[in-house]
Amino acid sequence: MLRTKESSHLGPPVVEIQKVTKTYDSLTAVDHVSLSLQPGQTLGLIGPNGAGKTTLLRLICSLAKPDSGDVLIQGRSVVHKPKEARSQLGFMPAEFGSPGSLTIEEYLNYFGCLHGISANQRPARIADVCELTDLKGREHLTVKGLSTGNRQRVLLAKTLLHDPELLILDEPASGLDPRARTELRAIIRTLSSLGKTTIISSHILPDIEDISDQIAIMEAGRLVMDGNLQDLRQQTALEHQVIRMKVEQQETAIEFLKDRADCRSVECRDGFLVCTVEQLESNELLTAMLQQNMRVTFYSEEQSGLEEIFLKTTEGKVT
Amino acid sequence: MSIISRFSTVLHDNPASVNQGATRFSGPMVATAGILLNLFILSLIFPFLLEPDDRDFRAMTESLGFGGLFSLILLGATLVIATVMIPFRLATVFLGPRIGRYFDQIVLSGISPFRLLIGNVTAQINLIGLLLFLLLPHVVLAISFGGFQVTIFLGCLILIVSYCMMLSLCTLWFSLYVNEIVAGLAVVGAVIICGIFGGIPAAPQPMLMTPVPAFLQPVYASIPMLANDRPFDSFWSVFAGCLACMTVISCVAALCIHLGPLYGIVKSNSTFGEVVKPGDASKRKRFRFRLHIQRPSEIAFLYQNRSSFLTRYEGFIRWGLGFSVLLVAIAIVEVLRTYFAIDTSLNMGTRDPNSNRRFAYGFHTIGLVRHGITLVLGILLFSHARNTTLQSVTVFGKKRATVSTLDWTGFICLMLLSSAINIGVFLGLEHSNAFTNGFSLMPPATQSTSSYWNTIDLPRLLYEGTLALNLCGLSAYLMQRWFCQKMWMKLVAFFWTYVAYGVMICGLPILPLLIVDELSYRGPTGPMETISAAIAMISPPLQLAVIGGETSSRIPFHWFWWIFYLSQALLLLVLIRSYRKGNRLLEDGLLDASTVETQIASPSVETTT
Repeated sequence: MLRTKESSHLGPPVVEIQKVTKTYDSLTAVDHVSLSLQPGQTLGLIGPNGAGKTTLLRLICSLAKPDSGDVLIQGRSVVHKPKEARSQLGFMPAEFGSPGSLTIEEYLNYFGCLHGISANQRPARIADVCELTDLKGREHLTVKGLSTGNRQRVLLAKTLLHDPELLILDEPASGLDPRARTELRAIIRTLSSLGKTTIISSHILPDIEDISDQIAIMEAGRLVMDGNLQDLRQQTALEHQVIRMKVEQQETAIEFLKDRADCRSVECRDGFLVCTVEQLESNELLTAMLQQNMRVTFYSEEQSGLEEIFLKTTEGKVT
Repeated sequence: MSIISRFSTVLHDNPASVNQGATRFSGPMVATAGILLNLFILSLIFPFLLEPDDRDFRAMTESLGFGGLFSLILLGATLVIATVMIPFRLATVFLGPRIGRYFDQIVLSGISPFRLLIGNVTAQINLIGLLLFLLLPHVVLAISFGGFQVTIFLGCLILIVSYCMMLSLCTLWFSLYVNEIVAGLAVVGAVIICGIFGGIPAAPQPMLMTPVPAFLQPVYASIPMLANDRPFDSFWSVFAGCLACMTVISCVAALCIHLGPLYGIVKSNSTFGEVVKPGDASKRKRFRFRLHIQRPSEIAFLYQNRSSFLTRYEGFIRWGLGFSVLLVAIAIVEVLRTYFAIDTSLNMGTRDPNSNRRFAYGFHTIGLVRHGITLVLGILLFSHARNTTLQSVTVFGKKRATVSTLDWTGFICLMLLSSAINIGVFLGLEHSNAFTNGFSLMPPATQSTSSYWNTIDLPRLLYEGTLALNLCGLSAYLMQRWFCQKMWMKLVAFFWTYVAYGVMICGLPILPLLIVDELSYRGPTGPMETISAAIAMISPPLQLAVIGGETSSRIPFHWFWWIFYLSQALLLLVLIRSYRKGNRLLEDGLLDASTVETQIASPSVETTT
């Protein structure tokens, strides 16, 4: 049975990345990156291709050795105590690999045995993870003939087998259709509710925006920005709101908006009045316009999204 | 849980068994085994079919019966098929996960190399079972041909199982150091050579590492012509010998797998562990092929996933074990030498001074040969390739040392201890009451006879011989260490040391002397003989021959005794200089990665307790 833990963001960090640097020949793949993650948190790691995301994940997993710095997983250094650190993490690679033509059950049994789960505990553990990843009833299928969505499920099930505290998912939604992506998001949310700390690397920004508590943006091996979405908005100075509205007295409304100090721009677009304003209280502008006896027939406040933040913070540089 | 039950769990519940359980007997596997088995049975029977009236064949069939002979052929075919199939079945141990792209998952699971690999050994039982199943119709045929001795047949089956385990363990052992395919080929080659030599009807027969001598014992016992050359009188004596020998080799291989290789980590230049040396990224894949495995993920698996005990006492276990094994081997030889000396003294006494001197000469020569072999083994054991030599390991508790320091300490201690034993055994025997009847290991030359044995200077043979061997050992060791600074495998470095020292230092200086000697039959050679003799004295074997009185008195070698010491001193100076320079270069080259390597290779005590 997978252990359920109260999600606590106040305890000691599950993973602590301390100024790690990794170079290959003259190439700096990861450059002095520091991050920490509390129990139950989900970190979305984004960045352009070649930003160093996979290298950072491999450093966290102890599959690559940092040239300097360290990564602590529940206080265990991946440099000094790699074996102990490994027991605390589950890594879901971007590529699916399987020893021979095995069924899902045999595949999970093989990896369960690798993780040292005793033969009499394995069936129950396999049943648990199959249920969690929605593989129940499909255990007899051969892994090599599975669809991409089901393969990702199998990989995730394998990652959960030994009940690790930290989950590291490398491109888990890559190649998935919208339905499968939605289901995967639901599974990750369930895991988060079970207290699992998760690091997800992905290029699918809406997914990251949806499921992450923390977001880290990498470019050219460096950590450009990290924090929750609101922090990122503030850091990128994308604190403005875009307000879209329909007003009967359009000319008066434009004049009114232009006179306001918090308004940056106003324009008419497709019959709508689109104005950019600094962060306001919800419906603050609407209230002000109604007080001016304007008839507002449509009003919508839009926040800047992760995609906008990503595009603003990155320049497409690779390591 | 007791150690036995833990070991039993490891044997039956390991990933290889689970995987084999899932894909136990595939159609292609059964077909391949069946075809190969019948092919080998036919190829072994074929020579008899060509000459059915052959005298030896008839003698064998009369003695063993056709059924008995056929049963031995069946066992021989099984042996051949196991030799061919097992090492190549094991070639997928690392290659399979690498190609299947799940090796990282194995590393991250934290499984110990021993647990992963031992499963591949026990999984070979499946193959043996399959082979025995495929043999059944042939066994029925052998019974119908007149039957065979069931006990001998069963004994041979036990030897086959033991042989298969040894083959698997040795292949996996070599796989830790070299590419699995190379390891498989090396093991197959080695057992074929051992099998061929083991099949020679000569006594004594030391090649007991394959079941071949046991299989052939009943055959040789049935051939009258070999009455005087039979290696063993009974099947059960050779059975016991083969079983013991194969078990010892299996245990050594299992221990070495458990210890794992001592790898230093080269600065990797690929994220995904495919590239092992800087600059490889720009090479085509076929040019990146390496005999040795040094991919970071493999090193991580083989080194970091072992038990913390092995990591904590790395230096003590590894160097201590090697040193102890050598000491035990030395002790066995010295006990035998002492036993023969005492036994001979009882029989010989002082009746014949020449015989006493001859025995003393043999005694000291054996001692020097033993000392020389010890030094050669020490050179091989106490040297490590360039990627490892600067690595820091935990010796005991919190004490740490570099591999290079441990190697130097180990070799110097071994050299001094071996020299001390060589001289100490003589002094101990001579000055104790071991010889009570005037027998001596350093008998004075008798003036009355002009025997050859009187010309030999026995004290010089013992003391100067030991000194000369030590000088040679030291220079050869320095040469090996210098080559190790350039090479990624110490066996390759050893090969080059052998070539450089054996050919250039030992062989080449003698060449002018041999030419002059040849020319001397045609006419006078003048001073050429003296000059070539002086040059030849650079060669250590010639110096040892001079010390042992084995050279011709016609050529005045004794004038040039100093040339050997001078040349050795010069060689030592050059090698020390080269070694120190090489060490500096190595330190500079690995400086970037050395701190990380050190940390990764040997976690500190606090981290592992």
